Amino acid sequence: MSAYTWVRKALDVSQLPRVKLNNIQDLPGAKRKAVRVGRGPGSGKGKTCGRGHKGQGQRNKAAIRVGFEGGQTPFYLRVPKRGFRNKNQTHYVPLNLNRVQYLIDSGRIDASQTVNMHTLQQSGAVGRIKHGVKLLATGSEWFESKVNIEVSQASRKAIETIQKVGGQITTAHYNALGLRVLLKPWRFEDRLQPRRALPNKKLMAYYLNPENRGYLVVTEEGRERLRDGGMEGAYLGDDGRVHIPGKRVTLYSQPSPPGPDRLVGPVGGLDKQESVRGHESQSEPQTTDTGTEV
Amino acid sequence: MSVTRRILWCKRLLVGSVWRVFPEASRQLTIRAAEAEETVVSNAHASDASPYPYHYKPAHKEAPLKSFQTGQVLGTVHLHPFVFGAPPRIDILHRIVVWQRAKRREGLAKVKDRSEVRGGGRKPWKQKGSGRARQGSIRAPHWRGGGVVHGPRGPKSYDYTLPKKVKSLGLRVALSVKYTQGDLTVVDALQVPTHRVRETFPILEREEWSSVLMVDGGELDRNLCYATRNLQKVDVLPSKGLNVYSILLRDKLVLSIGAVRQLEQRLLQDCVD
Repeated sequence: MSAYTWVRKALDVSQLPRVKLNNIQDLPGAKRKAVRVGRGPGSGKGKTCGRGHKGQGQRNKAAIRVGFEGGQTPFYLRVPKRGFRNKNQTHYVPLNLNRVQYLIDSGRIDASQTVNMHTLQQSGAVGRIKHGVKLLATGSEWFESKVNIEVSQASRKAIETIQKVGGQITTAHYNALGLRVLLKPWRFEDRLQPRRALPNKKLMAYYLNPENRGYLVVTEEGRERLRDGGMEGAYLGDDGRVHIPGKRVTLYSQPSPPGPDRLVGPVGGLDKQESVRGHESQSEPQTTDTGTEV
Repeated sequence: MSVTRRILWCKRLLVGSVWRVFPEASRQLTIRAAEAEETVVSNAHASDASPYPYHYKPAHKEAPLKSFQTGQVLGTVHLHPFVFGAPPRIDILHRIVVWQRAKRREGLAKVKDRSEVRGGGRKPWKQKGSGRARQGSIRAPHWRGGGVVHGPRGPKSYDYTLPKKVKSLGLRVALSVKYTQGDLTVVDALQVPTHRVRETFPILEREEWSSVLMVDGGELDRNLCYATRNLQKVDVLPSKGLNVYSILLRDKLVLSIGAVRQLEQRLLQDCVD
């Protein structure tokens, strides 16, 4: 796109003669003239019309398939197959604090309202959301807006930053259908609202962890979902497993990697009594055989 | 990002949407719009729900609401900036006019090739011995009265599709250009009491509408249709049938308040932010 476009966009038509059928025109370069082949040597595309002499190339359009090497075993058949495609891979759209701040400053996100993934998508903070949004901490040095934000996951530093400036953050799980309900509410206007699913086994531990500001522990709605799902009182044990009272099942969780900068102290926000244990773990990072130290 | 691209990007921000870049400006605009809302005296229905999902709201465009019969100003109409304040993309107008004219072409051009020209089945003279050049048919292309080679072949459609978004942008640009150039008038209702030209003509004369397109929201007033049918540069269209070519064909554009609301409703479907 040329600079000319923007010049034309800024055109002040109120100062110009009336726009009529006889004075409008397309942008220069918008249309390319077709090359007229076979119209004499002066045109440069005269005798052979740019197709060379004789043979397949002259007669057919594109009969030779991509990767064909004239009959010898082509490269893509000579080399064995390798690798695989992980169908269960989840991709969270990264979103950094600097972008959130920019959008708030420019008025596209209303910080006085709860910001969720629907808001983020509508305001152009993120594009297509496949599995969720993960909030990251780039720009945390100058992040200064007090927001109440809900995303799928958030980095430790992002959580810390948001809370430091007085905002609230929750991480919440949405499966494909739940995300659809959230992002495209108009599709469910005259339908029964689907119930929101609990996280799967792997993710359960993440959302039961107050350090992650998981919605299953920090919000009333999340706790209600736990009750609905028959998992009331589920908690994340020190062993990194999810324990469900009254059931013998323990759900194994993905251990979060031990790191030096642990979020310590009250998480703030909803419940005062929820203080994150971590004094012990901070002093001596455990490395048990399960590698879990949450 | 290269330097040129970055400059273009900045320009785009500046040109496209002032209120996004400068929060201060946006606040002022909002305030101005709010003030204007209070002072409005109009029978135009104010839409309750903001079409914008969030709190920012660019200033409304405004136009006086005139009485079609008397020419009296009745109040002010708010015109949605997305529909009546689109950037003047003259190139889009051109693209749409070209498309409209192309799809309107009947494409009936047709000539006869050598097989379609009557006669010519017999070999004119024998192959050898006559002393003349060998010939197979009197309708060969190089003969006088012969068939035409590579001529236009019968009914052909010149229709092609433009993206829907370009089409609707075109309509918005056309409306916006008319508004910006002061050629747009909003009237209460496009109705006349009788079908006589001599009663409608004074209205056109009073407003100096010598070349005008009038657009009504729902069903057209029959009297108005009859009264303008015989006038050369006066068109009447329902808002459903409004198009870029018809707008640009005439100097002035007259919209009834119903047409304005219908157009806004239709064109705001593209309003994402």
